Amino acid sequence: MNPDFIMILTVFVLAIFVGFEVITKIPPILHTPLMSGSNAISGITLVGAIVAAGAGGGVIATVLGLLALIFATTNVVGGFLVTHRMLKKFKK
Amino acid sequence: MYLELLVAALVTIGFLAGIRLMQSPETALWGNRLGAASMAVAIVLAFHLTGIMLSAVVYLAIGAVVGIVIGRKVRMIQMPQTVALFNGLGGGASALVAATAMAMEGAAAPWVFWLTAALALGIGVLTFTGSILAALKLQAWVSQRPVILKGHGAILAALLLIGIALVALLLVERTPAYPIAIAVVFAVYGVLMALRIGGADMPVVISLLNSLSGVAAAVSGMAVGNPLLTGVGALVGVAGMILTQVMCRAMNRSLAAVLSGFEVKPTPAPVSGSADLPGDGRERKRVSEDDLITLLQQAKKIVFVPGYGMALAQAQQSVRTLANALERDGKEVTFGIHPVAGRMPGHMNVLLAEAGIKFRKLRDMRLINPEFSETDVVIVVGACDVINPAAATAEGTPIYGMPVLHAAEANAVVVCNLDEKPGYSGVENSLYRQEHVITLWGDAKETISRITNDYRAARGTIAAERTAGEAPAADESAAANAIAGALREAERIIVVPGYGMALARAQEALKTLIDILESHGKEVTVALHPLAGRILGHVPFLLVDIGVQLDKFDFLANVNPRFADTDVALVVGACDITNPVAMDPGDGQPAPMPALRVSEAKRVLVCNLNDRPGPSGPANPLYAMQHVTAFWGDAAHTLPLITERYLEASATAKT
Repeated sequence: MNPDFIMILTVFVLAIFVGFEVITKIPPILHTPLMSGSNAISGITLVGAIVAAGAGGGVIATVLGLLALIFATTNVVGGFLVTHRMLKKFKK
Repeated sequence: MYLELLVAALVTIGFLAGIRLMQSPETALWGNRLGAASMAVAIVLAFHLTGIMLSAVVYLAIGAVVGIVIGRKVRMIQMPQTVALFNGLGGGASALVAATAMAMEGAAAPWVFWLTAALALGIGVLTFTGSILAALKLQAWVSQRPVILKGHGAILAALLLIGIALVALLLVERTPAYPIAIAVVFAVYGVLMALRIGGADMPVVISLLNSLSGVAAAVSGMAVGNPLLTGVGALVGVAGMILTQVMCRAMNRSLAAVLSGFEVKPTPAPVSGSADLPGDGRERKRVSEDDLITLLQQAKKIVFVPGYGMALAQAQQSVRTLANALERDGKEVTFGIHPVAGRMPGHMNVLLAEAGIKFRKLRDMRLINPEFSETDVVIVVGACDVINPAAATAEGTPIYGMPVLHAAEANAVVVCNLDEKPGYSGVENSLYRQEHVITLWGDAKETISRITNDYRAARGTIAAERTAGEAPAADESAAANAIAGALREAERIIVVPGYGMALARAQEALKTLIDILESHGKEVTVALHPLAGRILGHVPFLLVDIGVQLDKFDFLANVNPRFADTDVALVVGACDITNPVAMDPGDGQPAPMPALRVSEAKRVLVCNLNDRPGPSGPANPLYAMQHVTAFWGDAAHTLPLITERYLEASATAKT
C-alpha cells in the first residue's frame, strides 16, 4: 500500500470525526438547508472531473470526464443556489 | 506542490467553517456563501493543476447554466425533489470520475486503485438511479406508492452479492466488461431500493442518498488520489448519515426496516377516551365546533402542529394569516414540528419560513413537548401519525414507540385534516375521539381561512360593543365607514392594486379583505395593469406570492369592459393606471397609455397614500368625481381599518 493512500485514508477518518462534531450541533430547523448545502458541497467531485477531463486519456475517458463535469457543475451551482434561496427565507 | 496542499487544506477548512456557520439561522447564509467561495477556490486550484482546457470550461459553463436555471425556477414546495435531483447528479458525477480514471489507468495500476474506483462507480451509480427515481416520485411523475416486488428483499440481497463478486472479479482480471457489469448491477439496485419507498419514508431515503453521494465522492477521491475529494466527501457522508439517524429515530424504525418498506395495514387504535391521556389526570372540558371561536378568543398560548397535509393543501399562507390574527391580539403563537413531518428533513420549517413565519416561532419536538400541557389550544394542520397518542400504547403497530408530539395534552385540540383516515402508518388516530378535540375535516386551506374569518368577525363584534377605546380620528373613521358601507352593498367588486400597495406592504391586508368579501358571497376580481409596479408582473407576483388564486386576476383588455357593470372598484395604491386623462387627454391628442376604466364603475373607492399625481405627472381627475370616495393614508393602516369596520357593520346587521 503506498503512502499516498494511507494519507488519504487518514484524511477520510479525520473528516468523519470533525464532521460529526460540527454537524450534530445543527438545529433541526435548518436540516433542509444543511442537506441541500452539503449536497452542493458533495459536488466537490467536480475537482476530480476537471482533473479527469484534462488528463488527456482516450475518447471514452474524455467523454466520461466531460459528462462528469456537467453533472457536477449542475450539482454545485444549483445546490448552492437553492440553499441560498431557502436560507434567505429564515427571518428572525 | 506544498502550495497546492496548503490551498486544499484551506478549502477543506472553508467548507467546515461554512457548515459550522449553519448552526444558527442568523449566520447560515454566510455559511452557504463561504461554502460556495471555497468551491470556487477548489475549481481554480484544479484548473491550476491541469492547465485550462477550453472544452472543460465550456462544459463547466453548460453545467452552471443548467444549475442556475433549475435553481432559480423551482418553487419552494418542490425542494425535496430538487435536492434529490442534484444529489443524483453528484453521485453520477462521482461514478463518471471513477469510470474515467478506470478508462485511463492501465491494468497495471495497483489493486487499491481498482478496488476504490469500482466502489466509487457502484455507489455513485446507485446514488444516481436511486435519487432520480426518488425525485420522480416526489414530483409525482411516478406513483408515490411503495411498489414491492415478489421477493424484493431477496432480489436486492442477491444484487448486492453479485455486485461485490463483480468487484472481486475485477481485481483478479481487469477487463472493461466488469466495470460495465458493476454499473448495471448497482443501477438496478438503486432503482429497486427507491421503488419500494413510500411517501412518508422519503425523509429517510433522501438523507441516506445524500450520505451516499458524499461517500461516492470520498471513495472516488481515494481512487484518483485526491485528498480534497476524500475529506469533503466524507464530511457530506457524515452529514447525511446523521440526518438519516435522526429521521429513523423519529420514526422509531431501523434503517433496514425503512429500506425494506412495509405494507400499510389499517390498524384500529386501542380503546381510549380522554381517560388514557399519557401522564396527567387533568380534567378537560368537552368541546364542540361551536366553541371553537370562543376557545381561540380566550386562549393565551396557541401551538400549531403542521404536517405534510399542510404542504399538500398549500395551506401555509392561510396558517400564517391565522397566526398573525391571533398574535395581533397578544396571544403567544408557536409551531411544534416533528422531525419527520413532510418529505425531507426540516421540510415544514422551510415551508413555514417561506410563508414568512419567523424562525424563532418554530420549535422542534424536544422543545415543544413539555409545553403542550400548558397550551390552551393546539391547531393541527394536516398531521396525523406524528400526533397519535396511540404511539405510546398500541403495541404491535408500526407506530408503537415512535416519539410523537404530545398535542393531546393541551386543553383543547383543533384538528384541520383532510379526513379521518389514518396516516401513513395505517394506525387509527385515537386523538380524534377524545372529548377535548374538535375535528374539522376538509381542505386545510379552506378550513383555516374559515376559522380566520370567523375569528375576525367575532373580534369585529367585540370592537363594535366597545364603547370607548383608542378610537381612530373622526375623519379617518368616517372614511373607513363610508368605504365599508359601500363594500357591504356591492355584489361585484374589482380590486385595482398598484405600486403603492407594494410600497405600503399592504398585500396581506388586501388579501384578508378580499377573502372576507368572498366569504360573504361577493364576486371579487383583481384587475391588473401591465405597468403596475416596478417590474413587469410585479403586483401580480406579490399577490400570488401570498396565496391569491390566479383565477381571480383579469388583465387590462379583458377587465376594462367589465367596469361598467361593476358595483365597486377598489383602488389600492394605484394612480396613473386609473387616470381617465391617460386615455383621453383632450384636444385630439393621442392617448399616452391605456388605463383601467375604473371611473366607469358605479362607485370607486380609493385607498392611496395621498392625492398627489403618479410618476407620469398629470393630476388624476378621478379623485374629484362624484361617485368616488377616497381614504388617504398608508394602505397597510387604512385597509385593516376598513376590514374591521366592514366586519363590525356585518355583525351588527346580523343581530
